[in-house]
Amino acid sequence: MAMNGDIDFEAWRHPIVWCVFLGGIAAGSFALSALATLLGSDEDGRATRLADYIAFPLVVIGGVLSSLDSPLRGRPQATLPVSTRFLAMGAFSLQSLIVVLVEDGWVPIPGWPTGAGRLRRSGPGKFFAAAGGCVALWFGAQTGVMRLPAWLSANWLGAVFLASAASTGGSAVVLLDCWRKPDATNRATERVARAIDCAIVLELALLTALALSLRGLAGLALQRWPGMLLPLFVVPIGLVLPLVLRHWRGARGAVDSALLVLLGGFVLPATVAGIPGSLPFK
Amino acid sequence: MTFDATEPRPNDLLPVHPTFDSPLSEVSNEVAMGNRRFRRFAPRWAEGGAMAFVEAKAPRSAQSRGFFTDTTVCIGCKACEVACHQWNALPARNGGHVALTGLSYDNTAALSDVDWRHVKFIEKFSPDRAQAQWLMMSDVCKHCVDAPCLEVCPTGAIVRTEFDTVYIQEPVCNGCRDCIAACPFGVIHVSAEKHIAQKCTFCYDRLKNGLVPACAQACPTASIQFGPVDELRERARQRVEQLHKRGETGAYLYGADEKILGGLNAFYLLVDPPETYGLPAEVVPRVPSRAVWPSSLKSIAASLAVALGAFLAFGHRRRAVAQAEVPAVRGPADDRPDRA
Repeated sequence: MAMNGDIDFEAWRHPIVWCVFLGGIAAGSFALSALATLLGSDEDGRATRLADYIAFPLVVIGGVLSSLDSPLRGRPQATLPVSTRFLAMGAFSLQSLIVVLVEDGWVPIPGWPTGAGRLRRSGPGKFFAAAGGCVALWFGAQTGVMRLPAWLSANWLGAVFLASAASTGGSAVVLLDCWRKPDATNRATERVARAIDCAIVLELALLTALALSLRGLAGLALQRWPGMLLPLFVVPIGLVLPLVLRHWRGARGAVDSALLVLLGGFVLPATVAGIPGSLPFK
Repeated sequence: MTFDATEPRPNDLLPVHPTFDSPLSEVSNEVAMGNRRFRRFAPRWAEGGAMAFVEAKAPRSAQSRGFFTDTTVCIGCKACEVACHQWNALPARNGGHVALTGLSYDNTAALSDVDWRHVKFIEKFSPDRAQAQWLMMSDVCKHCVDAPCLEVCPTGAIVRTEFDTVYIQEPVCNGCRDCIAACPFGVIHVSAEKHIAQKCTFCYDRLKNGLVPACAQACPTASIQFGPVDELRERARQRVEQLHKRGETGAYLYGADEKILGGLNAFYLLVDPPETYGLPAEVVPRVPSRAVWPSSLKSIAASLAVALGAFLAFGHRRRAVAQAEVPAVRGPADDRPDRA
């Protein structure tokens, strides 16, 4: 209990920040995978497979963290909205993971077509991609709607977290690709990087809209720790610098750029969760 | 200081022992309306017999009960805090060793899971600090008419009672803390021991037995007045008029009208701006559901923007591949798709 009458926010901080961060990566990578399946070409198959490998494990970890965050693990967690979201996202990402495991020959199922992208590009595969993509976009926005005091009326917050989810999810795909094949010049991840650029630009615009919508509260929050991390770290280091690196160093800057985006993507929810506790009123 | 909770008062009918059974069933039998969201998501065990729930906004009934706290007559004796602790069997922290806060004579500091009443000591000085004034106010759950905590509770643990008060059913609470975030007054806290949300019950067990809430009964100056809300409002207006006639022109009522969350069943007579007392004023508290549609529309717009970005990144490539495949059919082409 804080002595100045503020609510004790400590209980919210660490698990929920990791939950939002990892959930955002899962949502972003899955959404990009779904969009690449629907809009892209066969050459995007590698990027979509990587995204499908990422999404489900992170959803599971995020879901476990969201449950750990609640002090009463014996109570009906399934009734919590956050758990409902994780269950929906988990179902679609599990389906995608199974598809990619079958396609890659890890899970041989007699009679099922194998070969990269065949299941995914089929009619049912595209239907699941469309439905799963919608769920992922919803999930990405909802992870950001943390019902913390001072953020209850921040209508832009969900949109900001959705853009952040897209950029961090894409960055995770790029990083995984570079880690698996450091020398490969894969144009599929190059296109993912382009999608990341679009998400970063969108996030910058949405952060500006969020700050403007908060009016006096923004001035109060951004002058204090940890709110000052938004203008001093998230925007310049987590968003602008990756854009500059990508366009300055091209493919060579992709890894550094992705790392910075992920770092910024972690600091964003940590800052958002920390701001209400730093404000001088209840 | 001791408080005899069983001391008969004019409107007391029957004293009750504090170790009463859970009022869950009593709430359920008396409250009429249902909470649709709870019914949709809550497990069977939580529905518990004839339990019923009410909506966040309940119409004022003849039974609406409330507190009118006249801060001008509060002397900071903390009898209300003691009575609340005693009646509700709220434990002391740190074995009763209280750390001094440095906040005047206020070492309770704030409402908490074990302090459902808090007497604020606000020191007010003139600019040259030659004049000093103490403002005292006994803070408590406001039992709002449009209660945000009740609205956001995902399990239906928070209900409105037949007295128009807001009550947390402990067995149903899952400790999600949504209500803590939703409350604009910082009233609700999670118990460190029970791990569930805790706040003033408006002495529901006492009301059920026709007793005055413990804090109001213990108040020696009638700063905390209890009764039907309409009656209290009228009484409060007369008190404000009286103070105005005496020259205290700054006196006003906070939460007596419907501007703040449809009205507060625990409202205050203040003589300084609400911020002085730690109450929200400039940003009028609103129920969280008001943000659902604007927030959803903005998220949908952002989703479309992300999809557009993906189209620019991936769709452009597909068109280029399609164009590159045309000459490949007609004859050998040295232009690989990736270069297009």
